[in-house]
Amino acid sequence: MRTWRPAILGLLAAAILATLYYATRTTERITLLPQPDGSPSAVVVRSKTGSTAVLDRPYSVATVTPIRIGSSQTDEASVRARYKDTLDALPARPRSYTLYFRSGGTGLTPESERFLPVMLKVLVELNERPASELTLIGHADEVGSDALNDALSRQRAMTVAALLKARGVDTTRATIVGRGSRDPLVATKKGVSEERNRRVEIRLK
Amino acid sequence: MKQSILVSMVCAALLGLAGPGLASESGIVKTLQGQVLIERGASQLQAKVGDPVQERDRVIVRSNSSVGISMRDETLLGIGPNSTMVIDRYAYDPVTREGQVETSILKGTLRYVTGLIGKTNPKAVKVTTANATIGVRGTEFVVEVPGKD
Repeated sequence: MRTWRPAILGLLAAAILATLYYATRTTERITLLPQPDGSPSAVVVRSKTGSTAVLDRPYSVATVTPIRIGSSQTDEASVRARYKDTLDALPARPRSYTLYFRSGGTGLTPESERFLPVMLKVLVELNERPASELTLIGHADEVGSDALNDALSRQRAMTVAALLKARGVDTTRATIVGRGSRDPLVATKKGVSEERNRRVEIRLK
Repeated sequence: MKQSILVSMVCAALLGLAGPGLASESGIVKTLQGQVLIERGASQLQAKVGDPVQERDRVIVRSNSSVGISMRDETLLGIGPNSTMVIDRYAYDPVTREGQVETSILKGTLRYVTGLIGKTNPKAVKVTTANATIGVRGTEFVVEVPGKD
């Protein structure tokens, strides 16, 4: 008996250590981060065994092993310490500017004309970041047919491309998209003229 | 829809602009530290800033290394040291903003910022680990998967 005891204890300790080791080696952690603008968000974590956890508070954590999901709470400082390299690796968030147009054509509104130099200064600078990508997305309001608005929104985006190019912004890799009237800033009925919907979004990432 | 993309590409070409890259391009490497490999079929490439990533690519991040990738729909990925991530599926239509973005993190850590595909349809975004699948609702999160040697 005496000689067995240490052996049994040893085995038990080994089993506990192995379980702990296995648990830490297989526990995945999913941590919800806050949105930069503070708006609410959530993730749904579903384990292979079919159980689910919903994370809807910033810095709440789901811990997932092959057999169960647990949850806990962490904070900004701990996340920063644990994941520094990963957090820092994230590419810069896209920047976006909007120019508005006069009804039925590709002429800028007087306000957007005035805004242009300010925007250009920033764009030229940002566009020199490595591997930057420029996307120009044209929109139209609800005046006119869909076919007409698809074409018009593209023309607006192309007008802005030409404008940027003429002012020294590198547009060689720019993507140009016309979204017609399908993505209004302000929802209106068909046939309604709305300046805020006659626009080109300039997105740089 | 295809036609309108084609038309805008043709227009872009007429203006002396390139179209939206190759159709197979899902995203671009934007930040890079240390050693990062992109495994594509049988080939393995040393990643550089500006390199494209494609559907089915396996991104391998060595120790003391990291990589940042921006997908076409503005999904942002930050991948930490000792990680392996796979782009299982990627499709994106910039006109309708519809598509599908499915990635797996086999080991390591991934910071994920949902892009426009997720804004249009959260169900079209999926992140898979060994033990779980993660669905999003307009979100930013970090996933950590312990490595198996």
